[in-house]
Amino acid sequence: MNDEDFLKAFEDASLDPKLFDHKAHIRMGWIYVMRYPLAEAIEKFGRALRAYTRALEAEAKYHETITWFYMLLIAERQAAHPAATFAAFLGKNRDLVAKPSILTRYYRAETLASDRARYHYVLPDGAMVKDAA
Amino acid sequence: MTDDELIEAFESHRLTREEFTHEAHLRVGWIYVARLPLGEACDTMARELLAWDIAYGLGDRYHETVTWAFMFIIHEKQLACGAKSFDEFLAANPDLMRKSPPFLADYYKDETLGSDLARKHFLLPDVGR
Repeated sequence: MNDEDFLKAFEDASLDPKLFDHKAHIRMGWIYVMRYPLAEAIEKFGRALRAYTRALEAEAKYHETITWFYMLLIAERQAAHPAATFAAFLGKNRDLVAKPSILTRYYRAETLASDRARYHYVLPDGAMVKDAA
Repeated sequence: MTDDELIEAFESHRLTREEFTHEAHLRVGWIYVARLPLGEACDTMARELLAWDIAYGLGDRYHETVTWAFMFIIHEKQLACGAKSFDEFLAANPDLMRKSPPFLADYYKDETLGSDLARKHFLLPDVGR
């Protein structure tokens, strides 16, 4: 599926949930980051994702901090190393789809499990890297 | 100055360099966070800061990562304290006024904030890399 069809299927909730795995979430986020200024990309993606989960009667799966975190991370990586296609982006950023999830490096588990983080974006609170690069 | 008066003075560029202290920056950010959805608050702060900087200087002092990071931190601290006014917010979060070491040193390495990339694009805090 090309980016346009993929985006359309997501926004009208016709996308087969079996196709919407973690990598597909990252791809969708990347498509929004490429098309809109960052705040708008996050807002539009978050709204579409909530609508999609509602259509699947899985709204409880929506997590504000995880959504924002990945959008901010995708935008950061795309700014650091611009990629023209999602395949190129993924080739440079395999850690976004690796296991264990990159979330576990940025956030404490109890933070992500909290209602506060589920309903509101909170900044990463993992161990600060203070030593010089 | 009321919140409305501060925003009006800031957005119309009548707020002078002397008046636009660190505390005034925090207060403007806090007002936007209180009034707007988070993304819109970040966007508005960024746009208005850049416009103010162009009005009072060269428009070269604007820093995207510092701006967004403070907005996220204000948002998070407001969630935690539920302050009804900026004075109440500041009283609950005096650490935001800390100059030395810089408040953001808890989140970012110096070389990250010093990079051109961080100036132009929001970078996540230096954790877990």
